[in-house]
Amino acid sequence: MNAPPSLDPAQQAPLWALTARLLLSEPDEELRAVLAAPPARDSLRAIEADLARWLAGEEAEEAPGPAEDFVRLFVAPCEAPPYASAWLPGERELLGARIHDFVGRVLSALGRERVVRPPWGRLPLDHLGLLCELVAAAATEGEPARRRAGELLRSEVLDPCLFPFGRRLRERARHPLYRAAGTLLVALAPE
Amino acid sequence: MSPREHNAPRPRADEENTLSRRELLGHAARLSAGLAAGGLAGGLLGCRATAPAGGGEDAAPLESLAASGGIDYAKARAVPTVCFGCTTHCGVLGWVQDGRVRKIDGNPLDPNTQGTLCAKANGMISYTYYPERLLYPLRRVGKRGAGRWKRIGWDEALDEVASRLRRLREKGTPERFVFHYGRDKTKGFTKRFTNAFGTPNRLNRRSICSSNRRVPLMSFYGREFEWESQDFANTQFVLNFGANPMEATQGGLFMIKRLMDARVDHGARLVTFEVRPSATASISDEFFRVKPASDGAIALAMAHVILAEGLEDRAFWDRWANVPLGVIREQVRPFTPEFAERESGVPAADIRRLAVAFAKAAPRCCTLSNRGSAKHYNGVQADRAIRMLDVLVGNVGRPGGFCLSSLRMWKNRYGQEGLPVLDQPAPHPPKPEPWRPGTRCFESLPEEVRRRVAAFPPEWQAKYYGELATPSEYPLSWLFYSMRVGQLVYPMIRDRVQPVEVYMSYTLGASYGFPEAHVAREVLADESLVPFHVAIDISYSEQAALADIILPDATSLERWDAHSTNCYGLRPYTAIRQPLVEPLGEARPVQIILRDLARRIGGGMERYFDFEDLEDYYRAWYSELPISWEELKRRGVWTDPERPLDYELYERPLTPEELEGTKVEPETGLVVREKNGKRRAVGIVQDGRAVRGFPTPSRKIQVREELFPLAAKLTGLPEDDGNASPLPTYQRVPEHEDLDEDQLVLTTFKWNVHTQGRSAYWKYHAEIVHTNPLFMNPETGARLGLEDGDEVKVTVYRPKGRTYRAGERQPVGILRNRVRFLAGMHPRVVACSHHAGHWEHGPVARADARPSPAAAGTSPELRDPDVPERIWWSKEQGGPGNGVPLNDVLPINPAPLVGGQNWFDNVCTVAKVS
Ligand code: SF4
Repeated sequence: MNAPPSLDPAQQAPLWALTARLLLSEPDEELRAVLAAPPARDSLRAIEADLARWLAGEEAEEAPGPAEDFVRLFVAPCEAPPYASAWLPGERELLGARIHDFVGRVLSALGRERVVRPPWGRLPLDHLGLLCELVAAAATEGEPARRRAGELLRSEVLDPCLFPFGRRLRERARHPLYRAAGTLLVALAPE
Repeated sequence: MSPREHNAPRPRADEENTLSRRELLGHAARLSAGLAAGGLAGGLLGCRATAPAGGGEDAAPLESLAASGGIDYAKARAVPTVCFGCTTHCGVLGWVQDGRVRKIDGNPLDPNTQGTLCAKANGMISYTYYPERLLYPLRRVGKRGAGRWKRIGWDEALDEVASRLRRLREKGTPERFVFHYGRDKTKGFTKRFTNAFGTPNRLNRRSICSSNRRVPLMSFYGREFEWESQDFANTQFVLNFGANPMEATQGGLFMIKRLMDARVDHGARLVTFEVRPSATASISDEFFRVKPASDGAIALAMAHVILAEGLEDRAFWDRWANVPLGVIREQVRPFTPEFAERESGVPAADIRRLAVAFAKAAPRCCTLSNRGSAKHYNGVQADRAIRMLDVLVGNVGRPGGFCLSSLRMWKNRYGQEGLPVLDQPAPHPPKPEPWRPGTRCFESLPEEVRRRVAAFPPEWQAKYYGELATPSEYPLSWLFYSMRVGQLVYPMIRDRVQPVEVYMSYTLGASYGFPEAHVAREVLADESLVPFHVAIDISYSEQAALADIILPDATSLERWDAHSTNCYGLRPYTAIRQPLVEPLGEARPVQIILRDLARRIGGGMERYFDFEDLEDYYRAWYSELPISWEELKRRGVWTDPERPLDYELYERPLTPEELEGTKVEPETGLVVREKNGKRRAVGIVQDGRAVRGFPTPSRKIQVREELFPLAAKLTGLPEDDGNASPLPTYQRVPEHEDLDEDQLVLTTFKWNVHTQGRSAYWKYHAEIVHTNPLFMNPETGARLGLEDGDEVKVTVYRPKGRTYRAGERQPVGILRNRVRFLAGMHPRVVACSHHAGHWEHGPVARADARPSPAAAGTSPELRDPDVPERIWWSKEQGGPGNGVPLNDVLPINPAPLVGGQNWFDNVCTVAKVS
């Protein structure tokens, strides 16, 4: 089998930004418009054929949309907890304390702070949406120390979560958008 | 997949997808490129750049992580519900695994909390699984209060209570049943029971809590607004008169969340006047250490400056205040900054500077106050003076200003227009009849009371239900709505003002927490005064210890409740408390207990309790919501995201339907409707347009309120007492007038991990704070010859104003405690928190290993290895113990007319125990 193509961190940045967006807010029309633009649309359709109708804006109005999945998956009953502490062995009984500490230092290294974004308020430090956003931001940094912080965050925290979280997402998602996200995260997980 | 399986061999992605991993990654690369072209990469949601960076070198790798127990998120389910750690009622998510609640998180869909929660929320787990939790009905054996109990079945317990209650109805004396609650958040379910039974005596503890701060607000803005909703998220400047939302205050979490965000995100400033370095004072931009009860003087002096500098919003005042500005100018003339400096200690120059800054920030500025300013003899007028500042600068209802948002269950009231009606299912029992002159109940009252009430206007008499429910000396405790004067209930029973035959305590801690709590204990112990006492609660309390029968309630994690409160996001929302787990043991939700009592009592009252399943009851309650019941349960909250925010509610035009059948009074411009001979203003004409105005009789902001002088006149309060003033004013607290050199003011406070008297048995919270030393400024300590940690004797005296047992020379009580020095305390103030010193509520609260008197009502299945073995603060284990019961020695001290307890006026002396 040929080795899979590798994406360098900067090339992957938009993917992480998209993941962050999907984990942090209910998908809206604006996001649909971005994803429905040709190159993105074609790749998404290839990954998840059922997405075609949504991308084309042709989903029946009464059908449960991705916003409903967002709540079910990430809020309540939270079928795919978007927290690194939920997926890293050993963190659960510590309520994610070590990850919180680590991500706090990464934030500071990257010169960033969490903002308030209803409905989430300030995100928990182990929220995978926040981590994806930081990885995306670090990948396009000019300063090597900052890029390194992002790489560390990815390898130490995000990567180990990708497979179990992505798989859970794919299993539990009802909307093809979140199924596609799960498939992608599993694929992006390190071997 | 369980987290334990994370490291197990796993199938590759391509085994579960028709595409190979290589193909997927190829698509991922193209998707990424497409997204970059589409501009997605830069849009950050959760963080933002700050400068400078902290340095990437610090980012050390994580150590390897070992797998072990804890919550298994693969199995656990998050269920939305409403927290009951305190009365703020945040939307939360409870993580349930294997039939047990493991952890409480914030619910990000709650528009008030925005997903945050405080340290107390997880206390719900502590109290649900507390080894001494009551799980079975109990009957006392031996003398009442002797602490000997026997487990009985529900049938026996309910039959006995019901037969006692039925007898009262059969005798035609239903009012001799008193239902007294502490924490009732059933949103009217218990009232359904008392109304169906026919007693008006559904008593509470509001006067202990917040009536002094509610009356000023309701007097300004109307009954609908007993709580305000400042737009903290958008404010620039907050003047805080003694409120402490960082660790106390109903709604504190909603406030402080937005306030901290506003400070971080756009530099809002917070200025605090406080007597001690509270958590809120400590994080303020400026903290002024003030003399107790001087807030009114500061506020009036600020009003003086604003008017002197011409910084008022004249147009707003003329349009919306019910009194000409000239009258206020005269009223505040004597209250100069120099006067306020003498009263408060705040330099006059600072008062000027802050008044100007506040007014210049308008409308993005607001006042904040709560019990700190209000729980004094002069507190009601102090809060009215504070509220007037907002009106003067015209920030009311405006972005960043002092806003008002719907608070109560939705019944198409003011501010609830267009919202679905949320109400208990029909049929609704009728309210009891008022005690008008000539009725049996009225004629049985003492003569002095009858004389007083007979002189009340008819509309007051229509709200009078006897002295326990509506004490005639305190008409403002019940004219807006029934707030009662809870701390006078026991003295009144003792003095046989009204006979009581069946007394039911529901989640009430009066015997521990009311001022002069020993009076409650003496009354409850006396079977000639209270022939039968039944207590409903989740834990064996000092109150339950004096019952004849104890009924175990389900906890907030095991039951339903409807919920609504004001939203600081200024868009009304509703939430549902739902059971996360079944009640443990034989505990039952209070709604089921009352239903089953009603059915046993019979006589017609059972028809109001014709439901089998509580979920059905609440489903019917929420039947008008535009989302399904299942969806409400799934989200925990509902709000209409399209609804305009509650800015300037008063300017909204009256709709044609609202105008139908109304007429305009030419002299006032009021739009009035007459119904059944009653006239009610529903709006006001402004600039030729009929708008809603405020829900007050004048449809304006009632800066002048004639109820105060009228109530004073009818109750014999001299008109020169500041409490009788129709306009905001200031007077000194009588007992603070001429304090001796050695006298200090004893104030109380609440910790961020405690919730009054109900949290001392939550094990993690008790571990953090379990004692309540007497905080004192080190200079004061030196003057008194004390050293940090010394044992002291605190002698507390009676107040001097027009209040209960005022002026008696005999001290109320003496307390022994340890002194703790704290810089930042006002030198004439000592402070002691009020959650500690329990002698019931089990080993965690008592900090001892003594077996529970109510062991028969508990279950060995709830064993906890921490209890009592790890109560390291117990004296047996060499710790400091559990503190002192402060409220026993604080005097019953209701504010004139309103009846709110003046918790912060206490005068004391402190002497070293040699
Ligand atoms: S403030 Fe804390 S304890 Fe009170 S309801 Fe909210 S989370 Fe619960």
